[in-house]
Amino acid sequence: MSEQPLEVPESRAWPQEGSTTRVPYWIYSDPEIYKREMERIFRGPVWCYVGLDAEIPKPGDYKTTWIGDRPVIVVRDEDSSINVVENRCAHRGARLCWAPRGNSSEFKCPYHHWSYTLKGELSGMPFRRGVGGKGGMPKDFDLAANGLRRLRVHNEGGLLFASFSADVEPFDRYCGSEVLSYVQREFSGRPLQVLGYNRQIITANWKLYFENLKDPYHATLLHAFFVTFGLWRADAESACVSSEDGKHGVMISRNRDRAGVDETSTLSSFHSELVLEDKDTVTPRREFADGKVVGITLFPCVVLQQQANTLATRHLIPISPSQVELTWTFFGYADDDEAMTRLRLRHANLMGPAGYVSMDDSEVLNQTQIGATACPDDRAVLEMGGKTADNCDHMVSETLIRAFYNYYRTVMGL
Amino acid sequence: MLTRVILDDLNARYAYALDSGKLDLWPEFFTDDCVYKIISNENFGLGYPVAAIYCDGIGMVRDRVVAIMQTAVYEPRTYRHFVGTAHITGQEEGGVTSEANFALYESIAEREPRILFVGRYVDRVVMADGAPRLRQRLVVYDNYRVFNSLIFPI
Amino acid sequence: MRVASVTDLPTGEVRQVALGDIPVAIYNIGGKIFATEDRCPHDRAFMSEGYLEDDHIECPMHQALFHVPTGKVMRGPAKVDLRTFEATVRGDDILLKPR
Repeated sequence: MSEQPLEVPESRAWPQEGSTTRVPYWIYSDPEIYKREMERIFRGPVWCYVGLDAEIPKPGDYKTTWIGDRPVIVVRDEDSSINVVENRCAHRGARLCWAPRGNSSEFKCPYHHWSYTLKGELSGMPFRRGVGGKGGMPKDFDLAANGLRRLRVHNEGGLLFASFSADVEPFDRYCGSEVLSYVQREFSGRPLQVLGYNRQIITANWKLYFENLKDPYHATLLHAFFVTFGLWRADAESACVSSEDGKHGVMISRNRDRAGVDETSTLSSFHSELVLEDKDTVTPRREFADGKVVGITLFPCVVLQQQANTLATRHLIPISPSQVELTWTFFGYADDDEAMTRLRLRHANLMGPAGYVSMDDSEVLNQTQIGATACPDDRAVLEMGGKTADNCDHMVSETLIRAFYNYYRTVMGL
Repeated sequence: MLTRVILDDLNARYAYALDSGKLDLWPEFFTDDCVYKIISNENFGLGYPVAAIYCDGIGMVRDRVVAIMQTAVYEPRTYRHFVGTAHITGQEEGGVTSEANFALYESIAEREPRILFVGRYVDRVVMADGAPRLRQRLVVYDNYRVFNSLIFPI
Repeated sequence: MRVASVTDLPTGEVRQVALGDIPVAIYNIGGKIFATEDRCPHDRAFMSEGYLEDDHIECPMHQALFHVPTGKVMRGPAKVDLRTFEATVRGDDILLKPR
């Protein structure tokens, strides 16, 4: 963390009135707040998701991605360990790897051919000793002091995380035992296989997307598809669990059969006359022993999604205060049978930029961004389910968002 | 005999149906055993099956129409397709394989029009029930990311 | 095959010659002549443009270091040894044995 605090104007004071239940709108548009988030959160003592190890199965395989606003390379070394280094030449700052993925035995900057090992060590540069005795680097130039910045790495059952911080706590303590148990439920070390990507730019602040996955209240209201076709209902057995410090959240629900719909709980968005021709699209096969549907927001930048039989990581890459890139990496298990893969692909229709229960999100988050940007000094009201940030056994609650902002304010000094 | 002129006419009618909001006409362009996908060039090139929209059979095509018309929540917008001349890439039993480039513009109130997608159709076309129909339409898009949302078929 | 004359290769110097269509680096180390392939196995740079210190040659591009008499790689980024050629001197002529 930098020693120099970033200047945030005094007017940016958190509302006093019911501070846990009020979120000021300036946090979604203020460029100084965004800068502070990049520094204190994304480059701070956190574990940032960078990909799946199944994306880079062989030695030398690499992918490029971003941690907040910093480009990084995730690469499998010759001994099969994973390295994460900044994708930025130590010489002039040019991006080293230009392709989204590839295989290489080293990284060589195309500009002046400075060359690095897969660990990011500077191994050499052209004409270090000049040409014909003229020019070249000074004798005291230290290769070892001019490598790529190397990040700390953690592999949790195939999920790859990296950290700029030397002080970040071990991953299990970072998650807390309860959240970690939900992560390990899906990522137990059972080998994964990548099924493909969906990438979109969401025209909203990154936190609005993160909050959306901490908000079960909207699920049966905005997403008419869920209730109409029976995948989720407001009275389904459910729970909201957050880590002790509030930064991570878990939403738990169950897929229910439409046949069990109790008419008294139906909402205006429910169209009971509608049926889908392809029943498989809304008929999940049970694959987890507990029968639960679990969505995890792992601070600061990944959502682990299990809905019906579609599994995906959703990687949040902030672009600016008002835009975030969302990379969906869909996967299954390497030992899935054909029928399961078929269901995973069908259920992927629920997700992504055209997803039956996600296109509504990108639409509404854009509207929220527009409203919040217009009135930075106003604030959101988050009292559904009470004024505290305790766990609850229902979904009519904004408790996970309250918990998140309790934590956020501590980190951000707000 | 499926000629380029017939394919161009099919594409023109297809684009007209979508651009004029006649979504209920869209399934008519497909055979019962059709495959329709909107898939990134990235996934297509890597051989990954995941698509932004994936329909395997006419039932899923009709379901997409029902879901958009009855359950989707979105800001009103207009799509406008510009489809290039079809290029027949091969003959196969009952029909042809063909490709055509496309660009799709999105217009939303109070905003400038935007090129939402650019890419190509990768088609298999057959004669069925007296008309040329799509047995396969892969909408392979070049843009790396989708800007915000994809509401309607392409 | 004659590739050069000794008078053109003073002690402590390295230069490029052609052996058929293969570029070869010839070295004069303390009056003794050695020869290796001229292309660095790492990134194809010419070793003859590199730095000869005692009996080691450093690649001008990325500073891979090789032991000239044996061709052994002493320091990366190269991972493979340089191929060597048998060099002999007859009178003023440097002769290389094609492989």
